[in-house]
Amino acid sequence: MAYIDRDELQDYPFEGEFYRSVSNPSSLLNPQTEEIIAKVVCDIQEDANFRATATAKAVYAVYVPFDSDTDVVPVQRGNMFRGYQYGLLVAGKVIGVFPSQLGTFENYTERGDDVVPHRCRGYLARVEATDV
Amino acid sequence: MAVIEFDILQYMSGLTGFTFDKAVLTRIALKRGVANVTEYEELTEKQEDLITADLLLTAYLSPTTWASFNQSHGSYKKGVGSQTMYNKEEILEWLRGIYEKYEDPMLDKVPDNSAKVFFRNDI
Repeated sequence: MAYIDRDELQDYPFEGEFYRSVSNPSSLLNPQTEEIIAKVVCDIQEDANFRATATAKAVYAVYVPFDSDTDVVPVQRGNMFRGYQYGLLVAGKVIGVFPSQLGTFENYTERGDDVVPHRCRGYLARVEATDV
Repeated sequence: MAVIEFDILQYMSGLTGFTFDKAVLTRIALKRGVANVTEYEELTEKQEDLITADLLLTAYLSPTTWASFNQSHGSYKKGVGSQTMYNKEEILEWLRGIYEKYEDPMLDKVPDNSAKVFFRNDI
């Protein structure tokens, strides 16, 4: 491309959901059920990957928009996440949640404007996915 | 032989040696009425000349050195380096010539830095 397209990157092009497993001892058929914590729009990037003899792990950074004026971060470490990147499933356990005063857009494009101090505009959830 | 597909913004970006924002190209394409042009043959020489002048005027009115632009997503990165214009006055004269040739209204908005001699008859 021979010109600069500052809008080429979308802030949150993907959809996903955070959920947790809930024990249901009264049900023999479904002793574990899922409780949806939050359905979100997000961006997903690979953060790191590890390979061992029989295991491949990847950690994904999931960026989620958020407004601290109206809500609290609903996700906790230990929750689960699943989302799709153009049909590719990214699923795993949340191993960390990091609120940020910056939205993710500014980070991607290295723009420094539109920063509102003392206000959370997004959070990063690190999701560990393991394939054996 | 590969077929070359015509894209007006891509074509406009090749009219000068500068790398412009898409927003600049879009603005000029709309202003010059070529935004919907899909074939090279639809473009007149006058339109092409005036678009070139508009692009160079944008460059002339920009900072002498344009900041680089970089963006990344995950491990994928791309960028455009900084650009510096050394011969602003020559470019101004050149684009004025285009506007004059076609008697384009933009001529009234172009700075005139040419040297002029005035004779005062009151002294």
